[in-house]
Amino acid sequence: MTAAPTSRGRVVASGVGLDYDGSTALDDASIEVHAGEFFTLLGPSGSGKTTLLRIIAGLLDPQRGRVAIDDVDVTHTPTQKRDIGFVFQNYALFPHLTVAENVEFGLKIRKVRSDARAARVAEILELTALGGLGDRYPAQLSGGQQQRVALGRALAQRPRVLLLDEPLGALDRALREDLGAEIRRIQQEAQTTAIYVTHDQDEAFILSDRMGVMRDGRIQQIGTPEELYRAPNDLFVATFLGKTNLFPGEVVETTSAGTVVRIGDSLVTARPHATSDATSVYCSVRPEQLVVSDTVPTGHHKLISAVVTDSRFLGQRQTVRLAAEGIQCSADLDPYGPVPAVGERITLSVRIGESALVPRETA
Amino acid sequence: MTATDATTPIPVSSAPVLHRSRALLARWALLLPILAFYVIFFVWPILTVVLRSLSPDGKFDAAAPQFTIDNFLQLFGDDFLLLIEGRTLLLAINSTLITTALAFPTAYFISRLKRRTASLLLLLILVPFWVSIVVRLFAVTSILSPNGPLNQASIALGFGPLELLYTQGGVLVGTVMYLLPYMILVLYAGMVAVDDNLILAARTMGASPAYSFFRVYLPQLRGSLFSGALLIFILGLSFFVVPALLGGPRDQTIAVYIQQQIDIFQWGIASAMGILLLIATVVCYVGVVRIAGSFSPGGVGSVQAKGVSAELPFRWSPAMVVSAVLTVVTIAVLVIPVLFVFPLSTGETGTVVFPPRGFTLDWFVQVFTTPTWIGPIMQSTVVGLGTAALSVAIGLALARVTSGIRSTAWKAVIGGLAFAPIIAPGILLAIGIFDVELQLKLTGTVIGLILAHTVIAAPLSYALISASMAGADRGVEAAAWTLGASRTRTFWTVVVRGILPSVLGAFAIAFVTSWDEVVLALFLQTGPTKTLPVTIYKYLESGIVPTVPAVASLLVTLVVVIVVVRGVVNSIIARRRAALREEA
Ligand SMILES: Nc1ncnc2c1ncn2[C@@H]1O[C@H](COP(=O)(O)OP(=O)(O)O)[C@@H](O)[C@H]1O
Ligand SMILES: [Mg+2]
Repeated sequence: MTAAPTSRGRVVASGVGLDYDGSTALDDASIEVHAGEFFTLLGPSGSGKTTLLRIIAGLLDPQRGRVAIDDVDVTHTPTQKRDIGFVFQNYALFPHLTVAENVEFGLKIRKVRSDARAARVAEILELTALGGLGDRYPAQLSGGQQQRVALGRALAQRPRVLLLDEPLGALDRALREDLGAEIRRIQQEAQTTAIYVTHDQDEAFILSDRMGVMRDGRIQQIGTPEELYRAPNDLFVATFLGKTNLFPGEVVETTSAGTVVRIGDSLVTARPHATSDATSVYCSVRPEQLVVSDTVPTGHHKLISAVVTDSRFLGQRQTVRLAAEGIQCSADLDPYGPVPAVGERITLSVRIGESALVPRETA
Repeated sequence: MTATDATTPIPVSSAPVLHRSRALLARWALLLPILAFYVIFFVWPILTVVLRSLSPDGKFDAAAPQFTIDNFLQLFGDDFLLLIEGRTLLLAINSTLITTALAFPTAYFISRLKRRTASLLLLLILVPFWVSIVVRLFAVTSILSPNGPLNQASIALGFGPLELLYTQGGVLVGTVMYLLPYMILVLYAGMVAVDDNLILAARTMGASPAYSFFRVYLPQLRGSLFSGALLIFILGLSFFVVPALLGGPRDQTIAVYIQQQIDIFQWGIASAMGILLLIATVVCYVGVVRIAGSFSPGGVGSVQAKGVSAELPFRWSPAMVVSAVLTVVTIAVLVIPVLFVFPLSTGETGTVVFPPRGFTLDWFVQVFTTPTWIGPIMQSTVVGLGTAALSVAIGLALARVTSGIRSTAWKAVIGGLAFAPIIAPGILLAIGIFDVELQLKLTGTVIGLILAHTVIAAPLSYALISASMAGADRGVEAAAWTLGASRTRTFWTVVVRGILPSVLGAFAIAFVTSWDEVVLALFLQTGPTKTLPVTIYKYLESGIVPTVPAVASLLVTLVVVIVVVRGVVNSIIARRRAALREEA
């Protein structure tokens, strides 16, 4: 990430919570978003992402906790005074205003002089690649164009923080990838902090500097996409991000190289286990981490032996399904290398210190 | 097919051709009777009024037609007629303004409430809406009369007696009372359709509540405001019952004057005035379509309360307080007359007085034991059922034909024609149909009245049925065919069965339209037995007897029961659906 030459837009939410008629929508969530950072809230639908985002925007009042922007407590500051930009999932473009008038809306409220306003609108239309569409009404635009207007409208008055609630949710797959990259480019150029809500992990991986995974109104884990993928703290994060194979085991000891866990009759050294008080764990091994061979390669530990039940060529990878003493697992192999035949008995192993351990009982 | 083909039978290829031509035939077989009905009872009546308006003395002679525009010249030359026209226009404008000023804050206030409270307030508006206007006017005349409660209060407070009944002010109050529910329902439907996120978006960009109200919220309601205002302006312009009953002899409006002229067989000026109303209506209609893009007074008839969102919760503010106060005024204007009939109905005295003296239920017994009321009750029921059956038949057939049409232009034409009878001024239709039925010797017959009521009821039935037919899955029908069901069988057991709720709704709305209708019934019933509202109307003209408030109370109770039962059934269905969804 290119360091943004600005220190505006640091967002800290500490212990914010909200209940709807007794049921908890958001359970005392805390996040800290650095200035200029692209932060993503990722989680299944109903996990409280929108609620948290709307509390940061001031559109919902939290029942507990505080929100600060740039170290100023804004918990009781009305939305109008928070200096933010918000992109709604359904865009919420003003249907009675043209594209240019939509973008101009916030500038007019701030009483920006008309020549400066026109210049800023032109700049935004340029930035969002909407030049020439300024006189159109929202109903005359495609979904992708509407999305860019919503983004431009939110950015026009140079907000400290840009909040986006599933802004690509209404678009089809191909468009989502293009526009996702564009959102990140525009955010970087506009030098603003972004908090982005999505349930789509691909989007989160492509866009985020850091992200927080949410579940049932709680933030499960915060980190860079790589940290979360490689070292999930719990079963939910391990299974929610990408695919994984789970091997039940017992923690034996923790050494400098990592935590040693017993799986069946083999001992495997995994990443240092964060919540080491749990001894019953799952050893989480991603399909691409699983090594399928006759003997254990150097630098690897044996996990378990297995029988190949199915093998499919999927273009970029060869997916092999295996039955390992009652555990169904799958491994992604290099389709150009050797591939075991169905029915063959093989050994599964994993690189030392690379697999992750998560507590077996889910919180 | 060529002659050589005839020697080699190809049964398979002939089937689709046969099918298509049969379908076309079936379509015309459905459409022709409806077309004939429409021409005889809608086009012809208007045409005959047009011809009369252009003939000397209003007598059109087909054998030797003579045309003149004298009647129209007189409309704009005669001081007395100009006065009537000006008064009518003023009444329509004033009642539109006052109604809008009350309806907007009321609809806004209700739209900001929690769902439960909103449903309750909507009920308080729907009940008066469904109670026949003559029943409500009976209550209004009692309230405004010299010994009514308003006057008594005024005298008691030392302001002296008030002149309320048979004045222009009284007419205005009555008209506003009649128009309010229409405007509230149209505006409410528009308001709940506004996306809350628009307001929130304005807020995130720094807009103050006032700014986002005027620059974001209000523009979204433009269509509803214009459509609603047009609707009530048109209704107010040609409204007959209120000025006829609440106005004095010097407060005639165009509609009242037309009726008086027809009574003495002076068709010339009356016809010209009817056509003037028609032209004004069409001009307004076109104007609104131009400004608002379309005429869509959605919501009348079926409104569902929608609760406020968590992001825009109800908060008291000065504007909200004003809205609340005006809502109370509106609901008082609507509900008090409806409730007022009850105390009046139980007095022991032979004249209706307020406050009632003594307590008796004898008047209710009399209603069901004397032919004075049993006749009208039977008449109204028969006419209502006939109208409802005929309207549903027309609605089903027409919706069937239009749902098969692909061209949007044709759909728009048929839709526009189908709705024309509702938009046409009631008094114009009344005199036109009266004239046509006189020639067909249908006046004074039950069937004549059923046919006339169907003209205004069928479009409503059609609207309901075609909307749900358009929403229904046509694939289901094809699926039934693949399973071997015949077309006719499929239509009744699959298509009609699938939209049964709206067919029942169409039946109900047509029945109520006929049950409450006064103007057509007033002209067409020349015999001794009249429908219920016309009987009440006649008593209001000649003088109240103590059974009138008893009948009025019964009619109000009936509406309350129906509206409440409907509300309860709807909420049970909604809850069951929600429960099913949770299980899934
Ligand atoms: N207005 C509301 N009333 C009641 N419950 C709500 C409301 N809005 C959201 N919730 C509940 O709060 C939880 C979190 O919702 P939300 O923040 O919208 O989740 P997400 O955006 O992650 O899909 C959900 O269980 C949802 O059902
Ligand atoms: Mg959401």
